[in-house]
Amino acid sequence: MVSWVFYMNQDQFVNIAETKTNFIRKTISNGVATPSLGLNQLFKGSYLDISILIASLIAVVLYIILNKTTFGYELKACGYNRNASKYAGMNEKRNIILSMAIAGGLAACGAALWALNGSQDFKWNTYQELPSVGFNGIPAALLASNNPIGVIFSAIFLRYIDAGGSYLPGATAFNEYVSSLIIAVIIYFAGFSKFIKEFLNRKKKKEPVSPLLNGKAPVIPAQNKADGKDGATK
Amino acid sequence: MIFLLQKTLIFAIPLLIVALAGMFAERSGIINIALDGIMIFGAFSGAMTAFYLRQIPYFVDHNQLLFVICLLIAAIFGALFSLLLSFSAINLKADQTIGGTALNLLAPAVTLLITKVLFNKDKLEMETATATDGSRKDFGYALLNGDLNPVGQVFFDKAYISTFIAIFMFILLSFLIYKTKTGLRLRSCGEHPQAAASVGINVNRMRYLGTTISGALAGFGGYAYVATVANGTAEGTVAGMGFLALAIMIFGNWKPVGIALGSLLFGFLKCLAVTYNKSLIKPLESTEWMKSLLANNETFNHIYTAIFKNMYFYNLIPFVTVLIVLAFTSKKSRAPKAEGIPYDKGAR
Repeated sequence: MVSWVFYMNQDQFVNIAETKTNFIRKTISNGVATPSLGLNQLFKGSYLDISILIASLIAVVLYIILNKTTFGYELKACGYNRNASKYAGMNEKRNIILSMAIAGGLAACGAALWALNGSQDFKWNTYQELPSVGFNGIPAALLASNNPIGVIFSAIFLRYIDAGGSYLPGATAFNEYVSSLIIAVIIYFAGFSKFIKEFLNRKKKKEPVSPLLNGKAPVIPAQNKADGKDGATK
Repeated sequence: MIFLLQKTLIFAIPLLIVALAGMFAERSGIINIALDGIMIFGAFSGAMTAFYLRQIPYFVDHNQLLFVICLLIAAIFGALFSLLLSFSAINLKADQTIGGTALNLLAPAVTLLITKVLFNKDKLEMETATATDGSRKDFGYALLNGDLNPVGQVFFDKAYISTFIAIFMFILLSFLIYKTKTGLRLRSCGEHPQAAASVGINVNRMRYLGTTISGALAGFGGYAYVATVANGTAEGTVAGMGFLALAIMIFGNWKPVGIALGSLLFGFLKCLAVTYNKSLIKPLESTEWMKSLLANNETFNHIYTAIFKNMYFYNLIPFVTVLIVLAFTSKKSRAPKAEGIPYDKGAR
């Protein structure tokens, strides 16, 4: 759970950065905007700037931290089983607090990249509701199945659908909510991936077994049954 | 003060019902993070029913009946919508958080899509009804009686029917989960489903029951929220009430009485944020002691104006209170052991 939270917010960060870079219309320009390095000339009419590079870089760094260092391993272990990691000698409380702190830092990073693009109004009007942009980070993380590298692509993918949706009412007979419907359905079915994986595995296992046995039922050695040990495991 | 308590009751009822919904799902072992989505969907289906039934003159004259019908429809559609979650979480053993998040995204999308297609609007409003004889009636008010004693005024003046139904449901469901066979079985499925299965309880059926009750209650709460707190406007959001309700459920330690106290406390503080000027500042400033303090002490006056007359300070209080209480009571909090874990017959 902890590492899930960790990934999730990290995602949010990348997601927000993607959003900003491609599709938001410019509303203010102050002197502190993120440098664009000419990336907005690459895609005409967009407000792309280096935050997409920063976001991707952070995602790669986090991938390395999580998968190639002891610290990352500890974080993941605490996420899978808190008690087991405690018995293995890890400081599980420190890990949980650190993961939340990193998640908070990343979320704030995302917000900074989002707000400093120079094309985005920053308003303090959300004290009654949660801003939906932050919440959209969760599906991006889920779709990437908690892989920091995957998050880069899932965030771009989701924002692509979302941004495309805003052009729908002008160009077609559909309205803009169709795109959120599509995203929701994608996320819903992404949840079935475990079931589908199991289903496919079950099929795979059956195939190599049948030619060896010539279609007969497998013969279980008698002694396995007789030694009475299978009752003890329960 | 009476006004404040009336508002508290109105605000606390959706929270109470939805937190109870969360409790039913989690006690049966399913994390229902989709409460927010189910609320939106229930609210929308209730508002649609109100919109279409209003076109029949009979229902225009019988507001209260219409209100109850809408509540029922909202509950039914909420239950149906929650089946999506239970199907993915129970039959397909999907991650319950993913399923719930998907439903949270799905509900506003579906409701806004249908609203846009049918009415070409972004929100669906249930106007206050005008009866056929021309008299205006507020939708869902149970009584409009000014000359009661103060306690009576709090409960019966300008109260919505949903309040009484919700209180009745609360008592009924608390009884169900603690004093009946079904309730015991439901709770056991949330604590240790394998042990429950070993004594012949159908875990999947119990979990379906838990989430379906949860969905019905969340739909009910969503409609109650939209019809009372949000002045009858269904616009594809319930202002994060579903997530608030989840927090209240944890606050109440997964127990009905705790949930009731938590939602009343939260509702009270939340309504204080709206009425603080009338109910708190004015009585305080009218006292002689306060007047002299304000006149003589410059620093105190500054701090007083900056903080205690600040709207955002009062908006902050409910959330900070819940946070502090959770921080101090989290040691004692006892979540159902098996919540969030898909039921696997083979696991020990």
